[in-house]
Amino acid sequence: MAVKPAEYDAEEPVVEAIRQGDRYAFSELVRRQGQWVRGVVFGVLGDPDRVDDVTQQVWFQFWQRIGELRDIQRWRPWLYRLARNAALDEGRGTTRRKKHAQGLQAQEPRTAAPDSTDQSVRRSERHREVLAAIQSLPALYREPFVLRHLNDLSYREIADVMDMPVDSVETRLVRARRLLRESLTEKED
Amino acid sequence: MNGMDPNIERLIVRQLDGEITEEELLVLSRELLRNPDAHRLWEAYRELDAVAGEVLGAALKGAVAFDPVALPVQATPRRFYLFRRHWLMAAGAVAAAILALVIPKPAVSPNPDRGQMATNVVQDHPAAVQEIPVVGQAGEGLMRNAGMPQIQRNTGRDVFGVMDEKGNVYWIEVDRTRTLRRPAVQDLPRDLRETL
Repeated sequence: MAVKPAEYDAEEPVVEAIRQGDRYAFSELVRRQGQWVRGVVFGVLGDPDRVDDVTQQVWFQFWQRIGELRDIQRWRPWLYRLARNAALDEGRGTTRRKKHAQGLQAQEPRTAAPDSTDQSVRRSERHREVLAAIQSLPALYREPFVLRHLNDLSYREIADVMDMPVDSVETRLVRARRLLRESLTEKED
Repeated sequence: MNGMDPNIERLIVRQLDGEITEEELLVLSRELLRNPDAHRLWEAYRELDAVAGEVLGAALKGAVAFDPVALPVQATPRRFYLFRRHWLMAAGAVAAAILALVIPKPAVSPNPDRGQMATNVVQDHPAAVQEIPVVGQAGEGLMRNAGMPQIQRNTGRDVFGVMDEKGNVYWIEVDRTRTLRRPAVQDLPRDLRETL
């Protein structure tokens, strides 16, 4: 996935078509980039249950406000900001601890259904723990972590969409893993 | 990560993220072979990454779909050009016209005639007025602190300002200080020139 403006971005013609009012191009972009936007929203919110609603809003805004996008090569950082702001608006007024608890309760049915074997139960339990640990990360670290693991973005690509130096991305990813490991180790103890 | 070299942890993360260089990989490989703590950390992060990717993929599975036909018309881009707001300019013009009608005109006529100018001489400080050597011919106007009167162009009149020791400014309007250029013959229309 090319993000740097200097590189060719296969999505640019699609975005340009959307800007010209092509509804089918918009549906195509939603299909292709939906996961990425969901990752951004989750990275900010930390609550998978609210991701659908916010993502819907983000895409709706994208369609409505595409005329404000001046540099088409910067469509991805622009979409990132739309998603981030929508998620921040959604998260405002609710304490993170409360969201965390809600997310944990709601998350259970989403993970793989446990079967009768102990291994599957343990695996499912481990998944819940890791997701809870990711949700409890500060958004500062969760955002790049999700972009890296869900969307497989490189440091450069994360830096570009988040508008920060590459070194900062690396530092945050190191700290995110350190915090996750500490959180999971505490639970094991 | 107690006692772990932060640089080794950084290299582990870079390796897992596919960002490590060949030189860094050599350093990391040596460290993983000789340092069990580094190896344990690498194993822990590797397992964490694998589970995190799986968990996030499962938690955020699903897609938002839009019916292309049902999409609303796109909003036109908002542009904030102040002077493209014609209604604002029109409102400003109306306000200026109202102000021009409401604000009272100055007491002193900007271009008074001779008789009025004579009455415009303010006598608050008659001594000061008397001390000023008024130079000129009959028909001069003298005004103090009323602001420089406007004069029409090409009327042959001039206005001089004189300040006394108290800071009062006296404006003296003097007639016929300029010589208007008489029209030359070549300035006249040809038929008129021929008659001359």
